[in-house]
Amino acid sequence: MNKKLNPDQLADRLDSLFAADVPPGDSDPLVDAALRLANAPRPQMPPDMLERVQSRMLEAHRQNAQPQPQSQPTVRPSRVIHLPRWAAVASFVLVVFLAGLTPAMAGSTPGDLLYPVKQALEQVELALAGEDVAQANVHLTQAERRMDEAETLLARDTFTPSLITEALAHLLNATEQISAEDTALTAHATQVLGRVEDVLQQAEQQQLTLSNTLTDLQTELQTAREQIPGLVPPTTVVMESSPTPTAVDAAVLVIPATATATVTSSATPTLTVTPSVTPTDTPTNTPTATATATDTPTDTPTATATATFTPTLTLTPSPLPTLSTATMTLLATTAKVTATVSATETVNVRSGPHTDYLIIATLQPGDSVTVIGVDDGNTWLNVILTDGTVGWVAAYLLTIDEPLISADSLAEAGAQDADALASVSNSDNTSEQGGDFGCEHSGNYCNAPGQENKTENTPDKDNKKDKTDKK
Amino acid sequence: MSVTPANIQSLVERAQQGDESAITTLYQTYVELIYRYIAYRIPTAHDAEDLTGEVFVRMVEGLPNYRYTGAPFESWLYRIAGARIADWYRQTNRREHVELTEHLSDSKPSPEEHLLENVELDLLREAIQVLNEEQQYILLLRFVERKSHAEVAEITGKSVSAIKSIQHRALTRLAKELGEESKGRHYLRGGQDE
Repeated sequence: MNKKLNPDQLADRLDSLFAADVPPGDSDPLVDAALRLANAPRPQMPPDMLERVQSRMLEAHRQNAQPQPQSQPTVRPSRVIHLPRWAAVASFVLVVFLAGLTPAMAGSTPGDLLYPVKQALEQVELALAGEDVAQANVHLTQAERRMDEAETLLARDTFTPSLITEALAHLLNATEQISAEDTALTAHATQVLGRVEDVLQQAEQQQLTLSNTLTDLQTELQTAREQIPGLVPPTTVVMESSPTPTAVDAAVLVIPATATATVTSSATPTLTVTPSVTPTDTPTNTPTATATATDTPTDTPTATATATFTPTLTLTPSPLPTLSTATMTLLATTAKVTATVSATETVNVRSGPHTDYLIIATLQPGDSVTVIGVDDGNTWLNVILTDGTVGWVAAYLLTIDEPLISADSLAEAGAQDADALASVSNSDNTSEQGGDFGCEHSGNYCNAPGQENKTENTPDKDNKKDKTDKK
Repeated sequence: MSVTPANIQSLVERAQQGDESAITTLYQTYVELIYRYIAYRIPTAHDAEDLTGEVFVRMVEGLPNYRYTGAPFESWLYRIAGARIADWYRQTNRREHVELTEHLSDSKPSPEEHLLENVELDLLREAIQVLNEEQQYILLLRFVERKSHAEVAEITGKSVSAIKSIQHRALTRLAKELGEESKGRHYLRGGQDE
């Protein structure tokens, strides 16, 4: 009776005691401690507390929820990336964008309101990277950003495996351009690989990965490692890494269906979008830059986690106007993110990111605002109205537009290349002149450059239109 | 609605798609589980409601990124709760080990704390908070939630033998604390409650 129980004996003893009515105590102090814990009255939530917490949860959910279906013209399973529009933007400028435009956007992670904007800009960044080495560098930079995002998520105790897959895709693309003599690039690539390994390890430690997801990602990691010239693969044996199955294009990006925090069909891994970009010179080139979302619902997360990639870059940018440094700098400071009111009724603009704040203005469906920030909870957008009012709007009432570069603001600032840029920019959609783009419905379609011609039909447009007709 | 492991997954999927009734059902299924965990792990009872709320707010925010990996859904909620508790301790700058004398110098429980007024519960709460996070987690799952070794292993992602081993160490420590505590209380309080 006084003999101390070892762990197995203790476990067995407890099992037998708990199989029947649990006694109040026991002579063994360890068993007794367990019984006391088991017999103590449990902390209770009274009904009013249950209600309060439930309401709080539901309110947070509603603020995150997507805009109502009737405010969107059609269901948008894919996001169109107007790549040729963006061909005017030099890639290094984008680095400035993403570092300095808004911290909210630079630091955004999958699921964040501004993440799609970040992704769209990265597409451009890639498309504009001219020579091989520049391209490789952009890929490595983007791989690093995926790891920044993964680390941010890990700190929040979540993990999105697609970030690993994407980072490795970028890494593979980069290695395509690296020869063994490129010591700097090789070093950088090795460093990126190291980060991916660390993130994966961390995710494993935090128990955020299922074992077969982990195996798949490790296989991808191994494939990537083998591609870095001069780097000897470790001897750990992994699964057959035959890059045959679902081969997707180099720039594999994961793009959520909407610009809000909630993503549909996320019981499956997030939508994998394969952008097939063939920029042309025709203004109505929206279809060629279509990102097709392939939604492959499965029950096992491994299905798309094993997505491999053929590391061939398919982006072939058309000839670009030569931009001066001054213009490129200006682009960095004049690019902006706008949003359109996608709600179907009047929307409140408040002085702060909560319904407790006072209403300072209102917006109508279809109105456009400039986005300058987002709150910590990722549910409110800090915006500037067309009249200059600064305020906050609940994010689910807005739809974030593709990022715009205004040739007009460049012209005002005296940029030499404003005219050249105007020919490829979607400068029609500046919000300074009011939010009415002549569209019947709100949402991204109104800002699609492919519909540029349609906006010419609105008679109330000012002479800014003329500028875009120049080229 | 009787929620079984089989239909939890579809419930989660519906919740991820924004189905409010699914979200509410998830809440109702797990809220008290999480509340009990938090209430045992922090010394101030009235903060338990706040932290519980935070867990479920983060649940709805994190649902888009949540992937059903086969681990029970509550594993994720427990992880969120653990992180919120850790943050709470950092912010309030407390050590997890609340000295007995500190507790005695506390004023009378506020109305919100009436739920944890029970002497035995208080005692156990104090004692268990001396243990490390993992030990607290295992003991609370095993004895407050009455989960089997196998169930606890599944929730925590550890092996059954690891659970038994941690359990042994944790109960040893807890028994020691309880033994010392009751001696200490007797000495300092003269057996009376304030």
